[in-house]
Amino acid sequence: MTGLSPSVNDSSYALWKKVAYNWWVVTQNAGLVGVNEPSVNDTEQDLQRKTAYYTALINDYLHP
Amino acid sequence: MSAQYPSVNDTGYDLVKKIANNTADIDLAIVSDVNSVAGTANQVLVNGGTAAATGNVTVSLPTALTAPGSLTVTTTFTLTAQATDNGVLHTNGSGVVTSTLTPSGLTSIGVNTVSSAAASTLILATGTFGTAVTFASATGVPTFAAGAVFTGALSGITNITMAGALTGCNSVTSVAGTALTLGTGTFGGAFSMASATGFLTLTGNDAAAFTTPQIWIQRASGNTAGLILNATGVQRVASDGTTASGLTINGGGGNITMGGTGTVVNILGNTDATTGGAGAVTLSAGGLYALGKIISGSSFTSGTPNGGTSGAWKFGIFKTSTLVALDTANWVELDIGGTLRRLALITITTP
Repeated sequence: MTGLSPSVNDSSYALWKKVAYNWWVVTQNAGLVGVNEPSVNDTEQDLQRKTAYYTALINDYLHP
Repeated sequence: MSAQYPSVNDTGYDLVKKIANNTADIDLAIVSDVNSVAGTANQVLVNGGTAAATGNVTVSLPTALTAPGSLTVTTTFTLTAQATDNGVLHTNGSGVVTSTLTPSGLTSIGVNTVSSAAASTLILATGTFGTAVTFASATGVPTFAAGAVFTGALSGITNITMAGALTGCNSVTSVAGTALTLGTGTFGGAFSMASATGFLTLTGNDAAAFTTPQIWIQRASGNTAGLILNATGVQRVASDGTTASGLTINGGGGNITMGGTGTVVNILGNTDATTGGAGAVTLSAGGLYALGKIISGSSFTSGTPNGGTSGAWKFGIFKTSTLVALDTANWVELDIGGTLRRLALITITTP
């Protein structure tokens, strides 16, 4: 499972969508189960909230 | 810094700030905990590497490598020398290096030898083995160099070839029902069994007759005695002296020789030798044959003369006198060739 690369035409929302998705991919590669994937209905702030959640999970994973 | 989770009241700014904090902390975990991963092309690729590592990898760790799970290698696991801690495989405290390594046992994964470097000591355990330690080889024999120390009993060894001294060993025994052979060949040098404070005891079997000797001292050829007592002072071959059992020296088909040039042979009986019974020094019916003179410190008593009576004799010397007269009343009995003879006596007339 690999992440998404940004493009020059990406909007702020598209970029946050890719950031959130990429960090969700990291959680899956780390074997963290039950982590909700970013949704197409997520607002930009939803994506930021999920990204903060994903990065917090990875942080705890790396600092058990 | 701990992980910062989002809350329902976080603004977009708050969330981005938490994301920044978390990613910074993640960066520390990934990069800062490992100061550097040194390598060249075709090794571990970091910071933008995109190709898989296919060659040897050298990792320089500033501190310990902690594996959260098992550490698995698919080929040889090599511990190389370091400046201060040369290739030591440590276990932590009561850790054990077992023979349950995958697939099973050290040998099966190709480790045929556990050895130390030249001029270094290989210590299998500085404490105590929890159970028996087995040194086994299907094709060779285990070898212990001089200086090897065993603080407990060694068992199950059927053959020992000594290259060095065996010191500090309190007991060498065989398995019950099995003979203990100290050497099936020839000792290269002197074989000494010594005790500074006690006795050397050789215990044989219970064979009663001396024709089945209990303890053999053999010599393949030559005429040198098999048992030589070589010490200062009185040396003795004796029975224990506490029972009625005697000491028999049996020459078999050969002679028994005692003494040498300048040597006195003492045969000690008790003080009553008149009967030839208990306590006497008795020669067999074969008699006594002396190449030299026989000197008695006391009298000589022969068997009873034919038809006469035996008595103790003491032989004197040749004497001369002009006052000799025939004793017409007394005589001396003497058995010559089985015939009793009578020797006349004289008297010395007192002037």
